[in-house]
Amino acid sequence: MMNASAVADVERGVIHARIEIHAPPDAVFRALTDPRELAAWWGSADTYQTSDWRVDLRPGGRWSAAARRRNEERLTTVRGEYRVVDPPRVLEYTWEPSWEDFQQTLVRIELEATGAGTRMTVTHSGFGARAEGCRMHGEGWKLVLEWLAGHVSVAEAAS
Amino acid sequence: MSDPTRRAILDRLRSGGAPVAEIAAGFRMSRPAVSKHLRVLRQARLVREQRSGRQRIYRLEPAPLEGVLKWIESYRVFWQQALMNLKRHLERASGGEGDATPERGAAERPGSAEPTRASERRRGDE
Repeated sequence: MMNASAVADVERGVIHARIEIHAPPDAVFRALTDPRELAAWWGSADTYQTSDWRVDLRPGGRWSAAARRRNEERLTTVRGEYRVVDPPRVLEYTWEPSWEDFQQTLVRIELEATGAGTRMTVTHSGFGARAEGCRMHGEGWKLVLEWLAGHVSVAEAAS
Repeated sequence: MSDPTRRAILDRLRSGGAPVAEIAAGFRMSRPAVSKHLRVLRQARLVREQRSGRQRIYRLEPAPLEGVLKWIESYRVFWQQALMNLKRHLERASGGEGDATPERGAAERPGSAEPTRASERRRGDE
């Protein structure tokens, strides 16, 4: 029933997520961009909850929200910049959380009308580039992820 | 990491730890030359050294990258949850009204009973 899938392409540093929602694309797009709707669904009791959404919905416009992580008093911030605003099909924005020193990754959301509602796909990218910038250069990241993937699957097979 | 020999050494160690002599044999290189490369890889914390009797075994050190892997994994889980929350939010909003008018749904009044019940239900699921 809850058909959400999310997979990490570790080698490229990208996450692909997808879900089918029984609501039309403009309702989904509104839920993704309306501050009151965002506060109603973004986050959960067992991860963190968001409030104080600010949305300047245009390419180059900024967005931000306060987030309180579970079991923590301290308020943190997530913010970013809209890159593509094409309702109700595409929304692309940067993701810059305070708890990661505002390191920037990129979220792209595509909405496609289906008979039953909307197919939503999320591509969250930039993890590889960041990791590379922190620790490695050039081909290093790709190579090391390859061997790490080997290491992990070997460890899994052994256990 | 840009050095092809060092990359090849890392590649070799993927299949398991090995002493210098064995690594050197695989590359037809002198042991001191291999030791030099291993020292660089150790300084980069990509390889660690382990004593085994009189031998030193060299192994891959995945720790620095496990942090990155955990980072990506946390976002994978995050998106899975976020999308399910969004689905629940939208399908409740349209389903409860009889016809699909999400703007008149639960999100209309943030203080209304509907979001409160939802958050209690989520807490109950923990």
